[in-house]
Amino acid sequence: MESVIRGLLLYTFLLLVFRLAGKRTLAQSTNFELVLLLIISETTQQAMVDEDHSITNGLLLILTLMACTISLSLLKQRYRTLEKWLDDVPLVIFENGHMHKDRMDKLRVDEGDILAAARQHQGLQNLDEIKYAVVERNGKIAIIPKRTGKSG
Amino acid sequence: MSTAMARIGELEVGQDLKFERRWWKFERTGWILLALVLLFAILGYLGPGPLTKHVAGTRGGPLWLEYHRYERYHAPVDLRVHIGAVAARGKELQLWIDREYVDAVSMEDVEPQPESVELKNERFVYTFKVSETPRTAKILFQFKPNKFGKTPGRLGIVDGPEVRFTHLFYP
Repeated sequence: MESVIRGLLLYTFLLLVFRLAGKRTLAQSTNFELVLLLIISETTQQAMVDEDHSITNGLLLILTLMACTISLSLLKQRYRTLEKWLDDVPLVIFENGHMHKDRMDKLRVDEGDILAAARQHQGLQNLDEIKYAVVERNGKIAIIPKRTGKSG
Repeated sequence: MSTAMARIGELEVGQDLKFERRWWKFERTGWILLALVLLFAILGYLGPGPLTKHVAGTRGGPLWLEYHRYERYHAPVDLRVHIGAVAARGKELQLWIDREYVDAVSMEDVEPQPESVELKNERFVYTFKVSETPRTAKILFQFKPNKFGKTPGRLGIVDGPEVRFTHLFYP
């Protein structure tokens, strides 16, 4: 019983904190963010397992976490508003040469981040080659390039 | 994905600016709450900290103890017992802690090591040998709570004064 409560508490807490941290906070855009994620996972593991290293405890915790995920996915499928609150929605930050500065400020994204995503994923060199930049629900920036022969 | 996606130019994307604005307000409020939790933790309301160090008994009196009011389940806890000149007399010093309190914790260490520990009248009695009459003595109990919630305790010198204290062990 204690394992299940521990699992539930930590799941809820992580969900809340990661959601409050915002789309971009742990989007793994830097090496340090990856390190931070590893530290958080290690801390979570210690708090969840405590001193009980038995197989039963491990199985119970895994089951609890999976049950939480499945239940939430069912609820999110049924209630779209809940899905928005838990998973967020994508947000367009760059649109045909226009940069949505207010949205970018809220998400703590700058022009450099858009250009970095454009270079990494599309091999683009400058903003003129970008049609749209969208911050996806996982915090990654999706770049849609302008295509030649198609109006922009 | 049964509902129609919002369209921005040619881009079909589930953007929802109304929701996003509401979320940003919620997010900022959440940050303030998280900051408050951290502040509380730094001050000592979620574990040992500077503002929640307590003294039970009268400092400089025959018996007083220093402890932190808020501690955590399975985390190391220090209970510092101070014995004044009046109480530390003779060749033996006997301290007791009520059984209910000791049952709520796992005693890890006592410094200095007691000569013996016995259970008498629902109290654990710790006997320390003293070679000469000391002016004062300090005894450190180190343990880990194995229960959570409010845990009151009593500690005293056999045939002498006693003090009461209360811990709150967080899960």
